This record gives sequence, C-alpha cells and structure tokens, in this order.
Amino acid sequence: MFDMLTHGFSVALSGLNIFLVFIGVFLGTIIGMLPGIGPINAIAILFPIVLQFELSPASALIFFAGIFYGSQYGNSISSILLNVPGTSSAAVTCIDGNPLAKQGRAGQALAMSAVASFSGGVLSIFLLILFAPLLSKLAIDFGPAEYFVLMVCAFTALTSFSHGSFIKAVFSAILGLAIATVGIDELSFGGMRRFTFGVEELSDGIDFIVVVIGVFAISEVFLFLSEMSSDSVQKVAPLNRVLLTLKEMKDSAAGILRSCVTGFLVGVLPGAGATIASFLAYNTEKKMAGEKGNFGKGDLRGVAAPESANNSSAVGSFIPLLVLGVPGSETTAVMLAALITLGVTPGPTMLTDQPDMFWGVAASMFIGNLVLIILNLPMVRILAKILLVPRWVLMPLIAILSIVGVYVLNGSEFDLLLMLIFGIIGFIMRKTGFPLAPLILGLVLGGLIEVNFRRALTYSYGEYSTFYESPITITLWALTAFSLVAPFLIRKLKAGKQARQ
Amino acid sequence: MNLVSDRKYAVVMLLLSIVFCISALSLDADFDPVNEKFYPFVLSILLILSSVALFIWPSTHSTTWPNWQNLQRIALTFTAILVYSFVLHPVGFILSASVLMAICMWVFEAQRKWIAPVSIVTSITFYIVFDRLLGLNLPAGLLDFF
Repeated sequence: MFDMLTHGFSVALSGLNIFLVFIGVFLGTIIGMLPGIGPINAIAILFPIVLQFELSPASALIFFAGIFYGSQYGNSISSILLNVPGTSSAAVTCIDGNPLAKQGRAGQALAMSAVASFSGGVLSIFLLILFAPLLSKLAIDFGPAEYFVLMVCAFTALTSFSHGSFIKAVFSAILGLAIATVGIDELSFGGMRRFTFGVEELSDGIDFIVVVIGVFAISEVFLFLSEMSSDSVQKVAPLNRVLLTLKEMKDSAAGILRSCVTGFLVGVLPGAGATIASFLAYNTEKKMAGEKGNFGKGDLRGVAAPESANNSSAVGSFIPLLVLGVPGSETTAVMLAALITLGVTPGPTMLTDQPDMFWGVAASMFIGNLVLIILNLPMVRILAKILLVPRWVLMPLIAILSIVGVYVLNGSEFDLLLMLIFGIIGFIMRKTGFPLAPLILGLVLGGLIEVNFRRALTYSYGEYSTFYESPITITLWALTAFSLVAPFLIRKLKAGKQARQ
Repeated sequence: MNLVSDRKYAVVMLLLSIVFCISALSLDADFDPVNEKFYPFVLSILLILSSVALFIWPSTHSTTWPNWQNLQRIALTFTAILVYSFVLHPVGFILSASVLMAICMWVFEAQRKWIAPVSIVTSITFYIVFDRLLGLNLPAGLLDFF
C-alpha cells in the first residue's frame, strides 16, 4: 500500500504542483481571513479562476487542497486576532484564541493553531489510510435515530460554554435551533412555510453565515463603539514571543491527539462536519483539563483542540465520499463538485479504477498541511502585527468586509438587514452574558436534528424506543451522560485524594 | 451580589418564548411528532423552561451598558448600514461603500484628513478585487459606465 502512496507523492511533487500548492495556500489564507468566508466559499470563489488555467486534474486538486488548508488557517487567524470567525467551525477557536491575542499572546495562539492543524491533519491522513474500509461500515450503521442521539451528545458540549450560567448557554443553543426552523419545512408534503411572517426572502431559511457574520463581526463593531472614551489610547498588549515552548507543545500534545481522533470520527459520519467536531473536541479537552485549565480566558489547549479536530474532520469526511460517493460535509460537497468537473468520479470504484486520484488526493492533503506550516509559521509575526493597525481603520474595514461578504453570498440586500439585526442581537447577548457559540451550534445543527428526529420516528412508526435500541445509540447516550457527569466525578476524585493526604 | 439583572433578562426571555410558542401553535398542522408543529412547539417549551430556570437561579452577571455618547455612535452606525442596504443597488457599491466607510471612520474617531481618501480608495479597491478579479457581483449603480 505504501508504494501506492509514494506513487501519489511523485505525482504530487512535480515542480508545477509545488508552486500551485504554495499559491493555493497563500491565496486561501488571505481569502480565509475575510469575515464569513470559509474553506467552502474560498474554493467556490476561486473555482472558476482555477478552471481557466486548464490544469491537469491532479494539479487542480492539489491547488484546491492548498486553498482549503489555507482558508481554514485564514479563518483561525481572523478568529484569534479579530474575534471574527470565517465560518462556524472557527467560532470555537475565538473562545480562547481572542483572549490570548488580547493578552499579547497572539503569536503563540497563531503558532499553536498552525501546529495543531498540521498535527491533526497529518495524523488523520494515517487514520484514513489505515481505517477506511472499517469505518465505512460504521458509517452505514448510522440511521436517523443514531444521528439524533449524536447531536444530543454534541449538545452536552454546551456545558463547556457556561462561564456564568449554564442556563444561558442552553437558552442560546435552543434559540439557535429555533432560528433554524424558519423557512420552508423540507419534510412536509405541502412545503409549509414556518415563521416567515409573509416575508418571501425567509422561505429559504436564515443562512448561517449571515448569522455568524452578524453575531460576531457586526456585534464586534458595536461592542468597540460601546467602549470608546475620548481619552482611550489604542492600548494593545505588546507582542510576546512567537514560538511555542516545548512545554506548551507537550501540554497540548495529548489534547491534539484526542481531538484528532474525535474530529476524524465525527468527520466520517456523513452530515456531521467540522463544527460538531470542534465543539466536541473543545468540550472534551476542557473537561480533561478540569480545574487546572484556563479555558475561556486564554488557554492554548483551547485553541489546539478545535484546530486539530477541524482538520481531521475534513480528512474523515473523505471516507464517505470515497467509499459511498456521498459527501461527508459541506466542504466535501464542494470538493465533490470540483472533482466531478475535473473528470473524477469519487465512489467505491475510485480505489480500483482511478488509484492515481485517490493517492494523489492523500498526498495532496499531506503536502497542503506541510506547506501551511512552512508558509505560515514564519508569517505569524507579521500577521500578529495586524493587531497594531489603529481601530479607526480596522473596525470600519471589518464592517465593510462583512457587508461585502454577506452581499456576495446571495446578492441579497435582505441578508444585509438580517446581518444587521443579528448584529444587534449578538451585541445584546454579549453584553448580557449569553454565550454566542451555542447559538451557532444550534443554528448549524437545527435542521439536521429536526429532520433526523422526524425521520427516525417515521421509520419506527412512532416508537420512541428507536432512540435507545441500537448499540450505537446506547454508546452515545453513555458518552452524553459521562460528559455531563464527568466534571463532578473528577472533582470528587480530587477531593477524595486531598482528604486522604 | 447583583441578581436582579439576570431576573430582568429572564422576564424578557419568557415573553419572547411565549410569543414563539403561540406562533408555533398557530401552524396549520396536526399535533403529530412527525409533523411540522411538534418540534418548534417543544423548542418553545424548552425556551420557556430555561427562562423560568434563569429567574430561579440567576447568575451574578452585571452588564455595563454604553454611555449616551457611545449609544449615539452605535445608533448612527446602525442607521448607516440600514440605509446602505437600501441604496446599495440604485446608487452602486463604490459610492455607498465610500460613504458608509467614511461614517464608520468618523464614528471611530479617525483623523479628519484621512477619512475621505481612505474611504474612497478602499471602496474602489474592494470593487476591483471582488467584482473584477474574483468575479463576484457588486452593483455598479450610478457609476455604470465602468
């Protein structure tokens, strides 16, 4: 098998392809830094341009891999530096990344993001090669009931986002679920419109990117305005060292490994993608760190976990694509479109009929990750300087970029109004202590949770037992319960240890 | 220990949840879990429960609302973006974005001499990058002769 991999590498490593990967990563990074533009949009935006160059399928694929990883890192950059995530999966990186930047540790946060992404990505490629056939079997066993329980399990990650109040995190999440119900119901025969109040533009529902940009970027602008005072100097904490110490890397290593596995497994499931992966990984790491962690206020592990899970879930979602021909996430759906246009038909036959493509893909993922680190680690110092740009340029720029980003999404001025409304909502939420991340999780998962719930009940003719019958559901419920109970258990164990000393 | 803020928010949350609940119940469907009504209704009940829960167990969060001057800044920015979304199409991107950027810069206390040049240059740059280079459409509006 490894000679096939080396063959893939030899295909991937031609002079032109190396050049393309570098350009792809570079372009991807810049585009990824724009508010609201994540890997999906970056690939979609650059797709026509790539086609114009009439590259060979292998070269085009490598170019796309570069764009993909570059834009994912670009998202992390704007999450950490500006608290503006490029896409929902980057929202978790904001939580510890931005506080780190505010403490002058932007360099470390960015470096950790690059290292964690790289490690997670590379490790997951090995997992892909080793476990592809085995895991595809697992994915087939997932029915609607199993998906529903999986998402409930992801919701226990909310217990991590409760700085002041768990109740507020729950409310936030359910609000997200509620917002997701707006629009035409996909499961009903008549195409019932829900909560559109006669507004035709709401029939397609509320685009989650519009909400992300509104609730993060626009609210950030309002937040800055609310704290301006006539004598406030642009106080930015001086930039700390840029490289990570060995100890920092050691401390995060276990977390990166765990998050890589979590992200990969989540990615294998069709329909579950980077967002769920990053939430679950963050939750796990926060629980494992327990009292010693500084999560939420600037813990490097809080950046390492989602970044590692992010990347590995992208690799994981290639399994359903390759084995079943079904895209595993939104990103793979775009990749699928790209591959088909390039004349590749992913599916069970890909491994036998077009082995060049598969190993070329694997090799390009590895190279994309590598180039990311090579290109971006040295650039971290420069990137961190973005924080030194004066507020009166940075904030208006964020505003204009957000507005442009939302507009080019659907060409809709109505989306701009929605963005504005969510900007106010996000502002109020941040002021009153309601965490934003659960809102995003609820919004992203909302449609899936409802669809799977109703489908599961339809298939089981109304029997609720379908939600706890199969071994998968039972395992997931156990994980959920563990996730809720774990912090108490860990604390009791520690108290017990101390009492005995 | 300030427990009152959270309780006030809980009341607002409760009102919103009840509105959502009524809205869900007014959907034209049977009350079968498989239908369109059940799920939003359950959500609204959960929202109502969390509002009550927050009222019973408030946290000690205290909010610092912006002062009057900053509130005006926010209101101005809000209105500017609002107007922008309506005039974008007729007036065109370059003109609307320049004005919006100028307003934003003024609100963030930029130095007078920088406002006009930076806004105009930025708008034109964005137009070229997004509309021409990336092929994404930004309305030309009044400047249609490009």
